[in-house]
Amino acid sequence: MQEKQYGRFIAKDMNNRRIEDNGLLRDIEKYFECQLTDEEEYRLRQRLSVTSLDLPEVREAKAVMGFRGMRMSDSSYKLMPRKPKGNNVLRIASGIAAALIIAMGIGLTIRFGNKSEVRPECVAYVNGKCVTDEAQVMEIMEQNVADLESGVAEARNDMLDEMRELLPDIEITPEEDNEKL
Amino acid sequence: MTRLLIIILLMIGGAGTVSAQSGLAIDKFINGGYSSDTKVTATYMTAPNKFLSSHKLNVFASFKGPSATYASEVERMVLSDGSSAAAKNVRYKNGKLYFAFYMLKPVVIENNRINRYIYYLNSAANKGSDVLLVYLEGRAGERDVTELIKNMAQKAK
Repeated sequence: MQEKQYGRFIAKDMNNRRIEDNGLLRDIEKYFECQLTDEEEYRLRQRLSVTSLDLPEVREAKAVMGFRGMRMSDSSYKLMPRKPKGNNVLRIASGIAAALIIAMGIGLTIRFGNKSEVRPECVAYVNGKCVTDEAQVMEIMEQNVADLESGVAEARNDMLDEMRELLPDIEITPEEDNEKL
Repeated sequence: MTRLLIIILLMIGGAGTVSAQSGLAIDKFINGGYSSDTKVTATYMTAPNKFLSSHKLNVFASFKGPSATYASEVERMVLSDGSSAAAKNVRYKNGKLYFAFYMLKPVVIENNRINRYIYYLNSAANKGSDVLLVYLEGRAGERDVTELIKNMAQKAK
């Protein structure tokens, strides 16, 4: 009983599918004869995207409508290989250019970066010449600082004078001033 | 093409990072930038150094050049670096910056607090002819640095 019923269902399903397939093929024919309205063409496109029918007419219609894949009878979906975008020559050239830029960047970094790491510990420049003797460098540095000290002393005295004007009741001496600073 | 543009942008950014390592506008003066000028006297001392270690310093640099040539640029750089200083003492004479002392905001390097100091003097504003720039960097406090400057000046005389 069940087998008969099962057989009846299969036969019924096959009949329905046969009717559907014929309808699909008829619509494909109409499509190629430009007899479909926009709505009918849209419905045909939808049906083609889900049909498992593998006939030359169906394949041709899918190809024309821009389908990238063909649905095989076993429902597995195989994609056509995608054509790479852009020109291969351009891709290779941009890769070479990128490698060159990276190499240049590394070279420039090594050459110009961290310049202070290669500087001597103690150096002076006098009359355009480099002096590396530490004692001489110290002497030059002390001379520069001595010239600076005159300005430092004057600025300190100016500040003391200003504070005395602001705080006339308080006796301000240089040592006290340093502590306040 | 997009990948290439990204790489170019990264390289530009990297170059920018490398060049800003010193972080100060006065860097070119204290790093021997004008050393070829025969009228310039510049010194640059970095740790490890016995003198610096004894005064808790890592860097001690000085620059002296003709005021007529360098004063305007040095002044601009000093004022730029000093704009965000933690403490300062600035004096003007005859409308010109005569003296400036800046204690810059300290930086932390390897868990060490590093203080930075800039001294500037334009003696041309007081009948002199030179502009002076001194930069100190290290763990030394302000009093230590002031004392050091005073002692070095006395030693030179």
